[in-house]
This record gives sequence, structure tokens and C-alpha cells, in this order.
Amino acid sequence: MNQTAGLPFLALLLGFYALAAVTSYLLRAHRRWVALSGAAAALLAAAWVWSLDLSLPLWVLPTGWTVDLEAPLMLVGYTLQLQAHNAPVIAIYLLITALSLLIDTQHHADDAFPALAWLIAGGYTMLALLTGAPASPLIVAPLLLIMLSALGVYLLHHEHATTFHGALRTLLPPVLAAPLFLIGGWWIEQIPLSPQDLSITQHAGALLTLGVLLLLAPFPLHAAWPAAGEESPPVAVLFLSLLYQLSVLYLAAQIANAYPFVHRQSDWSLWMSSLGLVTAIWGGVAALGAIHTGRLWGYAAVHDWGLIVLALATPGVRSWTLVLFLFALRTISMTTTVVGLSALVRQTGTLDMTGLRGIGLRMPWSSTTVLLGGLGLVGFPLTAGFAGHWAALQALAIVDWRPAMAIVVASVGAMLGFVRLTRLMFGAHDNRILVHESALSASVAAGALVITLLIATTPQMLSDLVTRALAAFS
Amino acid sequence: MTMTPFSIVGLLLATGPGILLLATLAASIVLVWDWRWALPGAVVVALGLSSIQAALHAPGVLVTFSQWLAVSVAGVLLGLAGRLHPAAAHLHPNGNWLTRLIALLFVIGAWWVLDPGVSLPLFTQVETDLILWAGLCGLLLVSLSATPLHTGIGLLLLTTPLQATSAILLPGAGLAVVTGIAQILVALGCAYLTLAQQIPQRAPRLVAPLPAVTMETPPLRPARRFPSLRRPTPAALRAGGAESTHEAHTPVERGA
Repeated sequence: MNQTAGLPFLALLLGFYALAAVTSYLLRAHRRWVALSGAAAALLAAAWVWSLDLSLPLWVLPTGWTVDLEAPLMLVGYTLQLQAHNAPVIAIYLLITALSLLIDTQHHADDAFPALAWLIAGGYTMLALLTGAPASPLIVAPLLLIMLSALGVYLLHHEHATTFHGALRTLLPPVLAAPLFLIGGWWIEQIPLSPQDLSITQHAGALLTLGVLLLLAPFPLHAAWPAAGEESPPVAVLFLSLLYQLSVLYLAAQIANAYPFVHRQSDWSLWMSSLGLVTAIWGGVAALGAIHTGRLWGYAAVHDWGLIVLALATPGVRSWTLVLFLFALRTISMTTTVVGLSALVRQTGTLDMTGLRGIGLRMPWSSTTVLLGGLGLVGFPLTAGFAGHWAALQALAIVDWRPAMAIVVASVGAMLGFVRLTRLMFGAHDNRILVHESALSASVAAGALVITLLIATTPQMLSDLVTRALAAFS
Repeated sequence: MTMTPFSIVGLLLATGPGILLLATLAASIVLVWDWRWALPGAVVVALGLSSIQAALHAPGVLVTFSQWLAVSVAGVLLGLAGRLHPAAAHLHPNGNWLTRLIALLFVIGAWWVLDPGVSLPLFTQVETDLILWAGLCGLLLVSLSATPLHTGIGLLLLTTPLQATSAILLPGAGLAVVTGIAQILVALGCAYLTLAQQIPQRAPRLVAPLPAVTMETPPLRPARRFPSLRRPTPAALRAGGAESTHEAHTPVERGA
């Protein structure tokens, strides 16, 4: 255990989260300023954590105090510690928080959104920082994911919603997965007692594989996010889905690194590849029939997620690079879509496709961000997601061209869903929609479009980010 | 082994009839469905399983107490939500009892035919079957339900395997407390959604208004009399009565 040489940095970081949550709640009447200052603070913190040099673990402040970056924080038997492998993950959590708060500044989701966002981001940060526990931290992680998913329910609740399928279904994967992790943890504890017994590692590997698979929520457990896309504020769906999925990917990477027998002595590759493929295909097929814009977005995201699960089939540096690249592009595409969706739902009060008839003529910038971001999730050319999808399909086609072709056909299905939406949005309409796009809204949408097109044309801009994040995952 | 109140209850339940009782109770939750039966039933099943483990594995009084506390708090939270907003529990139709019976029989049949041979380490096979059965009933409740209250009850049942494994398989890790906190947070979330559930307003029924003006009642039919054979006098005609003198004798005249 490291000796603390000064004020623990983690105490400051977690104190910052707590202070931000409390302040955001107390000042929730000034929602726009709270969200804006929160976004700025999160962005600064993300840049700060990202650039931390842990080879110089001691800071001497101008006041003479010393801050120890690597000092562990002990809480009732659980140890939190900042390490080189979890710092990039925390920075990405903060970046996602900053993006969500920035969108909330313009398109208000809920008064308590900033406070809850800080609380949940703090929870995910603690999960990433967890390096020691009475049992293995990897075994305990799903229990903490249950708690964080339960807190997410408050963000996904929308005051006008009459159903909460999405919010309720987000609880199911961690609740189902947690017992499998605990039983797998028991088997792992038996390994030192009889190291030659292969059946023990096989049992542990099978249970942890199944647990990770449940947490990844492929088909048929995929329904939570599309349903939430229909019922919940888009910015809440963006924030919670990205945090949850990144934490599960990080957990999968840690398990693959800590227990190599998991993917060697179990059907990890088979399960990941088959369920990833089915998820990608189902996302495309279901998007074709969606009649709600939020649900269409959700199914496009499911298609993209299926490709990520498929890329996890063979854990290694190469596949993790692809997974992180896909996740970075997913973040950009989803954020772009949410900028447009939030503007549309704010002006029209609905995301039902029939209610958006002709909206593209009144709100062209926001409508274009919805289309371009959504198409990016299915890998349409000249969108942010294209480079990632193309790389994944190439990697897949080298092994077997048939699944790659099936994914292409499924993505065409999703694209047709967006074509239908385009015709509705930009087609002629009888009912005159009395909405207009404010200058601020249009400029935010234009900014999102510029970023998307920039990434679409020069995806190598993300290589530094992916390379740095790869250190955390491999 | 020292006897605690929990283990005494557990010893009573860790018998053939006791286990059958808990299994039947779990199944009845799916069949009866009413939240006033389902919620106490789920709480009793979770507490019963905790007591059986206290009797058979002696995880420690504090561990069992924390389990009882967590399940009770979760039950109270869900119960309060159901009590305060009972309409939310009946908002979405969940199929009739026959559908749920068929679903239950399908699960039993699938389990019987497939026979996956699941066994949990350190648990007896009967215990394992009971834990899995409670979890399956919870999963069925969650699958068939669209309301937050029933989903909360289903998740309470679904966390019983988690509760059992955290206390028995990893006893020194204090995970029973973490599991209890997770159970309470899940129940709190479901209770919140139950209270936040908006009842969609029905279109107002079109009711015809009551007539503002009452219809005139038809005049009383004059009593039939024998026709007078006398010729009316001019005085009688003046006094009144054309009616009295003009009597209908033919059907045409009556219709007129």
C-alpha cells in the first residue's frame, strides 16, 4: 500500500463531484447558468485528468501544501486509487458529462438534471477508481452498476411520459449479471486451492463470460435504450447510455486482462460474435419499422452497439483499438443526434414522426443534425461513423464475408428508416407548423455538424485519443 | 450452532412443507398478480430464503439482519407507493390469469425438459432449486409487467439469488450489505416511478343533456259515454261544447 505523502488527490476529486452536485441542486432555479458552468467545470476537469502525469505523483501547491496524486482512499474496506490505467476512463466520463450538460444548457431536460448528472458521474468515477475491495473489485462492480442504474431511473423519468419501459429495463442487465459474477468470484477463489483443476477455471470463465454478456445487453436484452429513446429526454439517454456502456467495456477489458482464462477456456468468442451479429442485424431491421424518431435513433445505436460487441470477440490490442475507435465515433454521432432531437422536442413537444412532418423546412439545422448523427450510427458514407464501420466490416470480411454482408444489409435497413424520416421532415406538408429555429439553436446545431463532418473527413484526428485510451483497456 | 430467531424460522421452513410453501407462494404471485398479494408474497419469499440460509449456513446474525432490514425497507417503499397511487398498479393490462398460468407452465416445462442441471456451490440442490424458482418467478413478473410497481416486486424476487450468493459464497466481503443497499435503491426507483406514473386522461363520455322543456302530457281521454240521442239545445252548444256534441262514431272520425 502506498504511503500518503500529502493531501490525497482523490479526496479533492470526489469532493469536487459532491460540491458540484450539491451546488447544482441548490441553484437549480438558475438552470441555464448551472448547466453551463457545470459543463465548463467538467470540461476543465476532463482536460486536467487527461493530462495528469502520474510519473510525478506529488504536487506542491503555492500555499505549500502537497497533493499526492496516487494516494489511495480507503472507505469501509474499499480502496480507491488513481492509476495510469483508469485516469483516461475518468477523463472520458467527465467529457461525456460536459457534453451532456452543454446540451442541457440549450435544451432543458429537467431542473435536477445537472445535480443528478454530477452524482451519477461521481458514482461511475468511483467504480473506475475501485482498485481494492474485500472481494475482487471486478466481482463487486456489477453490484455498483445496479446502484448506478437505479439512480439513472430519476434522469430517465420524463414528466409527460405515461410509460417507463426504458427506465425499468435498464435495471435488468446488472441485476441478472451480478449473481453470476459472485458465483464466478467464488470459483476464482478456489483456483489457488487446486491450480491443476481445469474445471474450476472453466466454471469461472463460463460464469464471467455470461455475466459480461448480460451486462453488454445484446439482443434480446437490448430493448432498454430504444424504449428510453422514445420515452425519456434524449440528453439523459445519451448521458446514461454512454457512461454505462463505457464502464461495461472497461470492466470487460479488466476481466480479459486479469483472468485470461475467461476467453481462453470459455465460449467468449462464440457468444460475442454471434450475439453481436444478431444485435447489429436486429438494430437495422427494427429501425426500418420505427415510427418514432427517438426509437429510430435508439435502434440505430443498437446496430452500432452490435458491431462493438462483435469486435469484442477476440480481445487483444487490435480489437480494443477498433472498439475504442467505434466508441469514440459513437459518442460523436449520438451527441450530434441529441443536439437536433432536443431542439425538435423542445419546439414541437413530440418526436413522433407524423408530428415532425415538414419540420425540416422550419428547423433545417436541427433536422440535419438528427439525420447526419443518426446515419453516422449506421455507418453511412460521409458521416462520423463511416470510418469505424468500414474498418470493422473489413476486419470481419477477412475472416468471413457473410456476416459482414449481413451487417451491410441491416445497415441499409436502418438507412431506409432515416430516408423515410428525411422525406417526412423535408417533404411538403399541409399543416403549417408554427415553430422556428432560434439563432442560438441553429448555431449549436451547425457547430455539431462541423465537428461531425470534420471527424468524418479526417478520422485520424481521434488516433491520439484512442491510443491514450488504449493504455487503459489493454 | 447458536440458534437465533432467524434460524428458528429457517428451521421451520427448511422442511419439505416449508419449501413447498415458499415455492407455491412464489408461483401464486404470478398467478394472482394483484399487488396487495404479490408484494407481501415477495417479501415473505425473500425473508424465508434468508431464514433458511441462516439455519443451514449460519452466515452471522448481522448479515441475516441486514438482509431482513433491506427486504423490509424495500417492501415498505413499494407498499407505500402502491398505497398512495393504487391506480398506477392497474394502468396497463398484463394478461389474464390463464395467460400467466400458461407462461408459468411453459417455464416449468422448459426447465423440466432442458434440465440444465444448475447447482450452486455450497448450497444444497433443494435450496438451489428454490432460489432459482424464486428468481424465475421474479423474471416472469418483470417480463409480463409494464407497471413500475409490479416490476419493482419482480426485481425484489429477482434479487433473491443475489442476496443468497453474496451472503453465503463470499461471506467475509460484506457484500450482503452492498446487496441490501442495491435492493433498497432499486425499490426506491420503482416506487418513485410508481408515484410519478401519470394516468392518461380518458376522453370525456358524451352524455346527452336532460331535456330542458318537458313534453306536454297528452290530454286525458274522455270517459266513454253512451251517445246522447237528444238533439243539443242552442244553449248547450254555446256553453260548450262542440266536443260533447261531436262524438266520434267511425274509425275515420276517431283518427281525426
